[in-house]
Amino acid sequence: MSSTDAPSGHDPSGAAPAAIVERKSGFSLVWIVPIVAALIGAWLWWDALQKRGPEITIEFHTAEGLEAGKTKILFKSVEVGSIESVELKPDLSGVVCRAEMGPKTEPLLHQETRFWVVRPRIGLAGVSGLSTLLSGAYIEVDPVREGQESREFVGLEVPPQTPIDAPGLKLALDADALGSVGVGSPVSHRGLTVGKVEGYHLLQDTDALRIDIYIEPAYAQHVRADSRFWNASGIDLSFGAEGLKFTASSFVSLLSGGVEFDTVGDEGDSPAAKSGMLYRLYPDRTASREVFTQTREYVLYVTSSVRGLAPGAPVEFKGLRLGTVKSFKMVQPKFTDALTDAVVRVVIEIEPERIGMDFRTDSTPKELIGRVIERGLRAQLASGNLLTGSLLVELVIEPDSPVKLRGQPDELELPTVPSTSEEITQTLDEVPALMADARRAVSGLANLADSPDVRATVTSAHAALEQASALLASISTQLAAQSSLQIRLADALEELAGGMRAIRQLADTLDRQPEALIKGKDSSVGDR
Amino acid sequence: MMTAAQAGLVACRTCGLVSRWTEPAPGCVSCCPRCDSILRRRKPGSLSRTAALVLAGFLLYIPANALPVMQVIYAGRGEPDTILSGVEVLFNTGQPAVAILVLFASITVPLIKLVGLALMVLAVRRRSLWRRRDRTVFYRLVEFIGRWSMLDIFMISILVALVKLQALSTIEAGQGAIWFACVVVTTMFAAGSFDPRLIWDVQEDRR
Repeated sequence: MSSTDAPSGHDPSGAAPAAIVERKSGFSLVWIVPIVAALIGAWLWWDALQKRGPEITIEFHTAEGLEAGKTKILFKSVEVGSIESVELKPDLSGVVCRAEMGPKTEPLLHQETRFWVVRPRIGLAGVSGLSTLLSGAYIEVDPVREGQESREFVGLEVPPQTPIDAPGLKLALDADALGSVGVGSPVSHRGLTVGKVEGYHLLQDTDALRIDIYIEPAYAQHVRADSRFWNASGIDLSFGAEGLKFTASSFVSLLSGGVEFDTVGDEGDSPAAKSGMLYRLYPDRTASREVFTQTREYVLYVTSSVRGLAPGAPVEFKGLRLGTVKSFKMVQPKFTDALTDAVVRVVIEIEPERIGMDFRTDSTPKELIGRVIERGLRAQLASGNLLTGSLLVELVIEPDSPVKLRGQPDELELPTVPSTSEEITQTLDEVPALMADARRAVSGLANLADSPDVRATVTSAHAALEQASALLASISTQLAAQSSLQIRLADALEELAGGMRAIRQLADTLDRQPEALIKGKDSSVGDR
Repeated sequence: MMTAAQAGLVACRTCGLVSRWTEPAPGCVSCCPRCDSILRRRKPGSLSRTAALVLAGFLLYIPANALPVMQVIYAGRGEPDTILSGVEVLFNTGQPAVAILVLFASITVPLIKLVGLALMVLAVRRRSLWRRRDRTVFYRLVEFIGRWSMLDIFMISILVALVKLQALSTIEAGQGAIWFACVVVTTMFAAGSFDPRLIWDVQEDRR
């Protein structure tokens, strides 16, 4: 700070160079301290910048368990970020968590990356997240390495069952109803659990149900392109035309539902399944078996009662199942609107693959049906199960029965004949008439009996009977053992016996001495 | 008012003996005739030292407050606390008195010291005549209050040493504690290197 002039003076020699007068440097060593402090500060700042990753936002329905500045974001249990703030969305429909990610986490953050809150969860399919009971909830991230980078995410409400990049098969099933299938339900193959249900959702456009399942890599080879999946939930008890049927699956499936699959035929025949393939989920094992690619619908019009007929009832030919009843409803033919003339239109589906045939013939369906009708193919309702009264449709060959078609010309209609049960029913229908006749006859008889003539007749008959009775009594007295008639009868019989004896003697005599007729009795021979 | 320097006198900083000031030759120092300690009319480089240390204090004050000073891990859960968030936690957990004490000792006091010293250096350099007496009193206050700033550091040291219950509860010191200690040390040195007599030297120059 202070300047000091160099000592000036005369140099006696005059040869020495003059000292240079310099201003002393104002720099004091003490300034090293703030410089070091600044360096430290700069280093800390740079260090913090290095450790700082991208900032992201995650939306959740609720901030339950989430705490700003405390909740961590973990990937494979390694901290990759933390929640900095939790705020309500402007429309109050949820919360937005602002999170600061760690360094080098950019590769984790793509559009498909999923976030969800890990909380303790207890379900039938298992217990998860128990460790968070003490440590508090945390956010798990399931990163996707490809795709467009993103900084704004919508968190999952339900944790996914498997990571996105899991090596197994991820398949989709289309189902009509969920049944008791839930997230985490087992997917089994021949009783072995080989995967699980990941989730389900209704499709927006078709209202169909889509179930996502995951098959572990070790079992992925067993899923084939033509494997069949069915709902193995719980107990299946049916009582149809085929009798009582009871099916139960594994205990876990009973409790939590499940999906089962199998491959019809040889596994090697069909190509292996690939992730993303779509299958149909059949309601039960039987339905999964009965899947036919070639089906054709026919209609038949029946006049009799369809009580006991149900969609799904079998269509049989000579006892073999050939198809299924699809639907039936009452229609009124055009020419009349009287309810009495109404018939039931039954739609059946013929599945020729059931008996190893197919429809791939040269003739059109119309020609084909014309030909088979000509040869006598008819349909009738038959009783499938006497106990339950369920009906089935039977195809019969009766060339002599008349063909009476009622439907539209473009329909493939099979003519019907009355069924045996129908005949019985018709006979039974006549029973009331018979009964009425019988009743009428009986009442006529009763009227007759009530008339005075009959009463007089009956009275006179009574008198006659009394007389007859007296007669019989007198006969009986006359026939009694000590009666005179009896004694005389016995005498007469005795005399008759004496006469007979004399006749025999005469016969004997004539036998021995035929000449006696002429000569007279030989007394020598004499009596015996 | 006449100063000792104007009267050609100098007081010994060690034993307080007032002696007549003799300008030492270059390379030499003047010594107290009684206790032989070095006599200086004013602390050498006082302003630049103070300024440098105050600047360093300001720089260190940032990481000291931005970085966590302490991490309380209780039952497996724990998050680092900076001084401010610690105050907040104390306040929210129903200990406003302690919170205010910590806030005062750890944030207000260092800040007052740093700002006060900086202002004093600036005032002296600008040869200000404004409230010189109050400034002197304030300097005395700053020097006195400085030691209390170490309260936090002591508390952390004691807690870290005491609370070692393994899984149940543990307290760890954070990086911010180091920088906070540095702030306290630099401000103490800054206060020590400032010569309050400079406040009164202005008068004689102006006259």
